[in-house]
Amino acid sequence: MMKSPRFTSRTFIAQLQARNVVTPEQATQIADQLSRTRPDGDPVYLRILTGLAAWVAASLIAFFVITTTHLEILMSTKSIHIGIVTAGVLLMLIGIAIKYGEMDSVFIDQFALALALAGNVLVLGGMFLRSGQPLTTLLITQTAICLLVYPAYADSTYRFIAPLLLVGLAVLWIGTTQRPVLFHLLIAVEMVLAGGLLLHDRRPRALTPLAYAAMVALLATLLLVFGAPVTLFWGTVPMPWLTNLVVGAGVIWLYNHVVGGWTQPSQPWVLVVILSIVLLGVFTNPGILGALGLLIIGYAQDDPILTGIAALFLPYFLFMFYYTMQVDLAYKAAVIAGSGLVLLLTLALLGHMAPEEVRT
Amino acid sequence: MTHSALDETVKVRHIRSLRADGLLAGDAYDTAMSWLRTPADWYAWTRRTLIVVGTALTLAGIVYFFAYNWADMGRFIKLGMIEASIVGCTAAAYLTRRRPLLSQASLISAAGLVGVFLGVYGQVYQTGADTYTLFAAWAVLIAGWVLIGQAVAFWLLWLVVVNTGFALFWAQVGQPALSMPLAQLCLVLAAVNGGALLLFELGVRRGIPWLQHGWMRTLLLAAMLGCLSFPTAIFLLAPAKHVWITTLAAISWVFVAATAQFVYRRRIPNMAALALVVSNEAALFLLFIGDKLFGRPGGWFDDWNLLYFAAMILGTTGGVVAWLRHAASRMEWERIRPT
Repeated sequence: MMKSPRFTSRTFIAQLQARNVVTPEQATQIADQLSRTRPDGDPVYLRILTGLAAWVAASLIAFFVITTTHLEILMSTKSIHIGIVTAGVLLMLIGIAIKYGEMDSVFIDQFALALALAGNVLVLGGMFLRSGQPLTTLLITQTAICLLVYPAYADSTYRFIAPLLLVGLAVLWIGTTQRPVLFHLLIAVEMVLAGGLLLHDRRPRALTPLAYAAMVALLATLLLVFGAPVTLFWGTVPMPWLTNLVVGAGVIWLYNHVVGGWTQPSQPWVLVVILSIVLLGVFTNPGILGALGLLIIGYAQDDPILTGIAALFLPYFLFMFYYTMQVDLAYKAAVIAGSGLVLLLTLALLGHMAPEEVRT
Repeated sequence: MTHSALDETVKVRHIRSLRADGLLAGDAYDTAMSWLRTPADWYAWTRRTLIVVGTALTLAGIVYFFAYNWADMGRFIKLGMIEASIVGCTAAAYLTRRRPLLSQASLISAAGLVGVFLGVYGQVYQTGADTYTLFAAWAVLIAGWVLIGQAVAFWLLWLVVVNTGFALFWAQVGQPALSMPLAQLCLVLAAVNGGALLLFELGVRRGIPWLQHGWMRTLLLAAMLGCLSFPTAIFLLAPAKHVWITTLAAISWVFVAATAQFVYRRRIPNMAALALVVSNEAALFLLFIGDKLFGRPGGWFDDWNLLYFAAMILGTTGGVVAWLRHAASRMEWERIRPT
């Protein structure tokens, strides 16, 4: 079984027709799609640029709203939260309305995004001032905002940022409840959401930002909980092996799924890789498992963004892990070096296990 | 001859896009994916990943180990183990020379361990030398390997070492003893990274296969622009306080930005590099505007300045994005137009 040959789009469509897996009409539609120069919208760096700019502008607009509408006068009363929440809701509605106007203008799109972000922040700010248990209230509020606004506001940047805000609040909430064991549940949810959405063949485009947000949230949570240089305010997370189990199982399922399974002919080498992941799952840090999982997804989907994020995350995680105080340096050295040696040993075994047909 | 987008290589993300749009049904999708991701592809990718990640983790573990046992280890053990590792990695690089990725990983590991050796040497013998000498020696000692390594990651490591050496020289000698302004350091670093970028583009033009990595171009360009942007920002924000070299750095930035914009639009069309240059120009423009709005007396207390600046940010980035989209369309049309 040779490596995949390079198909041009033209020969690819011809091959599909020759195998009778597409009709001539479908072949024409596929050709139209593949001949478009930007089928997937703006490149990621343009989205990052517009997102950053909108975020800064949103902060300025939020401050402007608070100061020029004299909301600060209400600081002397108990009604300030009503004013701030109302202003926030209004800004979000205006942002959504502008987006529905479908004006083909980058400035208008960014302005709508800035309003939506500013409104989101103001609503959270108002609810924070209102509540005696602010973090619980913020968590519920942001959950409601995500459920209501995500379907209504078709902006990929907002759809990426809003769930991340929710996860950030969830991390803070778990930390303040002094039940760090809940982090295992959060990581499991993030992993299932990220893996399920990223690997879904017919994922609606509207859910793509949520998929990437879940992936970023998973990595950030793993870093905060298992790789942070300080213990933060939740202390050591009990039963760390639980996350190893969850993430390790996820990576095993993932690899088996994308490769096609070790029970197929010429696939026993897959079993070797899976066994090495099992071994890693016993003693390595979940951050390393998470990075491996992301690399697998990145290659499976031919997504340079995911691969790039995993490539950046792993060295950053190793750097941060060096300073984490939850375990001593000897244990850290054993974990990291041991993980590396397991992978290199697997490499050596692969050379003997793989049949000739996959080595070409 | 007309070049069409249909003559481009089809990739997995195109297949997934077709599937998401409902243009490829289950059997057709499975068939297409079996062509583009065979078990042989996964085997090759698995091997590459195991080499890179396994080597990185093992090296990191060795660094951790040294850090843990530092106080208890005698000088000969400290130095001897590192030297043995360097020899071992070099031997591995030679023995696996017919497997490029494995050989390069071994040689890069050896180069990294040279830096560890020099650091440990300086700690053991307490020579009193400034840290910049460590990085200078490191760069010199591994230069030969970098030349024969034929790996862009190797050059990246070497450039990081060189840049760090220059920065430490400025911090430890240049500024305290010679009153060297920061702008001078920025110009030197910009020259180093700019020179590397020039050599990179020449190598790409000559078709050197191991240089065909677009991310290196973006990284070198970002480093060069970043080094020049800092003194330029000082020039814009505090014109009364700078020295002549700050002006020189600002002029250099103008020249480099204009040249890069021309080159990556007309000569070596590259959207990522073009976006980087234009974004850098926009960032400095906004910095200038922000200083004019908030830098004057009472600027921070004028609420309307917040709204003006928000509008400026949105307008500037909107203009940048619109221009980049237009440039992308033009570049694509120029690429596929009949010749």
